[in-house]
Amino acid sequence: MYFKQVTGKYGEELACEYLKKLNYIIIERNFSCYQGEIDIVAKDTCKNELVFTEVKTRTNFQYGSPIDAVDKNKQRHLFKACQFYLYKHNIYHLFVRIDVIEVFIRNNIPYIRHVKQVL
Amino acid sequence: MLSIVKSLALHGLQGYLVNIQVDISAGMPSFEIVGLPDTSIREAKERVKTAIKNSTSEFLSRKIVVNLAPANTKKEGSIFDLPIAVGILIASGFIYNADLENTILIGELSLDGTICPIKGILPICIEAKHLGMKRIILPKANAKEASIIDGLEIIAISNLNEIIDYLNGYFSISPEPPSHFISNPNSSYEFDFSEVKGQENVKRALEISAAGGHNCLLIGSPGSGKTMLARRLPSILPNLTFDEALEITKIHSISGLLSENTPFIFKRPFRSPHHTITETSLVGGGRIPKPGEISLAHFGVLFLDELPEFNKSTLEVLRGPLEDKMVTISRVDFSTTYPCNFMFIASMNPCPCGYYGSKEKQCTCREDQIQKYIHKISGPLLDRIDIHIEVEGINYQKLGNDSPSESSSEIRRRVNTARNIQINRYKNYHIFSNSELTPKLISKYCKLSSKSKQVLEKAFNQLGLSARAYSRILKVARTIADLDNSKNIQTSHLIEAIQYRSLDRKYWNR
Repeated sequence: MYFKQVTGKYGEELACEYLKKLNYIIIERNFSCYQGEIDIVAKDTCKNELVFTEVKTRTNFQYGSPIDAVDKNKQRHLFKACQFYLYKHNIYHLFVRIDVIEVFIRNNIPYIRHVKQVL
Repeated sequence: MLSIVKSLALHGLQGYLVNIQVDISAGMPSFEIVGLPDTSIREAKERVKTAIKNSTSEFLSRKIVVNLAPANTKKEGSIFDLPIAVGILIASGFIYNADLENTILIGELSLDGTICPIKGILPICIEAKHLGMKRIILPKANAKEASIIDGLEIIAISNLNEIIDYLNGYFSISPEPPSHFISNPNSSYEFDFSEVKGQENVKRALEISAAGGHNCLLIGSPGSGKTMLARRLPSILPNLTFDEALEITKIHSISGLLSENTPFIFKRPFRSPHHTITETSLVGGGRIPKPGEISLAHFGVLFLDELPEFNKSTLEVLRGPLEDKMVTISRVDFSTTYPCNFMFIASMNPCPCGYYGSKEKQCTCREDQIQKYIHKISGPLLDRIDIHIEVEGINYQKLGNDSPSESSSEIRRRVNTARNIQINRYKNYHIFSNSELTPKLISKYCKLSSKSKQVLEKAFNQLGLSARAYSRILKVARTIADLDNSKNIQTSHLIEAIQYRSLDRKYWNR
């Protein structure tokens, strides 16, 4: 695997660990469809919401902060993918939230920022 | 979850109830507002979202649908921000067991959750009371304006957190105490009639028009004091009754001319637009019609200085409103009627150079120039002006005379007495002055003796008066009689009224 993919994968692992610590139940990882990809599908147990999470990992700020990479186009793909996920699994009774988790790694120390409700 | 919150929208001066229904359901997060909102309501989305986020509660990621019922009426303005926010908070459970059955919510939100003042709170409150509402929750800055209405619990709030806590019952807000109406409070005026030397005849004419609400035209050479006299007219206008003040304030309220410092209009308005004014701004208009200058001058004075300088078509639009005392403005979206019962005061020169018919200087204008100038004022418009008065230049002896003239307060006292007689006489007819008399009331209250009738007949034939001029002479005669505290119109009153109509023969029908 290339460096970029390894970094991304590592970031997603970290995000999963983080969500589990917050009592989220991880339902699915890397759900992918024609519309796009969802990194983590989890359930927020205290709010009873289905949380679709996009994870962005960066090792430097040369191209801006990780969340800046989730632009309008990416958001649209994410939204469509989430709609498809709900449709495919027949979910009509749950509240839905779309989050972005930024992972920034510097000197092998990861920093996590959880941005809720991006859409 | 569904929640329904009540609010009010204005349609001209009329209000109608708007139910704001908020539904929150499962599914992809979205925020939709339906029910024919205009752009300012669509933008409420962002304001509401941010204001809730910045309050103590949370804006949840939900599928939110807001409906503004009745859904077939176009709605505009930012007044629905607060009810939409409260509706969302109720539907998402942050406000619980709030009793909003007989409550109207109104207010604009800013991003930090502060509630900003809105326009037209007075007509909204009047309408809310009409619809049997018990409580109205409104921005703090509007509270004073609303407090003139009694029988309505007025809750003034300053930010979103306050209303959440209030509706949840964590703390109580005492209703705004009702304020009392005082006519002309500590009436001080910039100008006073005592500053005007001489010109007793013009002062008399203005006193009559102030007492009866009659229209008046001042004709005179430049520098003779037409504008000076007219500017002093507000200082002798009669005190407002509560009903009059309420109507004036309603119009000023929807035009957004009230502030926290002047929440209520206690004085008669005096509007003097510049002669470049357009027809639309004079009578009112816009996509959603707003009141124009004539409506803002309701129960007050509309003063047009240098009348012939106004656009001819602008002057002609005054014809209808001068007679009907109201104006109906129709646009694609809707039409509305605004009252415009104003006193029309105008001033003009008799010719382009200004000295035609003057004693002090020779007129240098050609005959056709004078004709052209003077005929900018059309016959029909002239016919609607009850009192025509010539303002003559003043000589040096009078100007240098230091003995003070009669002050405004003395004239105002007489005017008030005369106006009170009229208000008492017409209290069953919902009119306030002689100028509003209908033909039926004229025949009832403007009875003439047989001698007076003869005089009037002679004048009618000799001066070539119209039927309208006839009734207007009777109205003016009635006012003169009221100023004289006389029960019937005497011949002398009638003759004075007739002589105020004779000027058009000197200038127009030569």
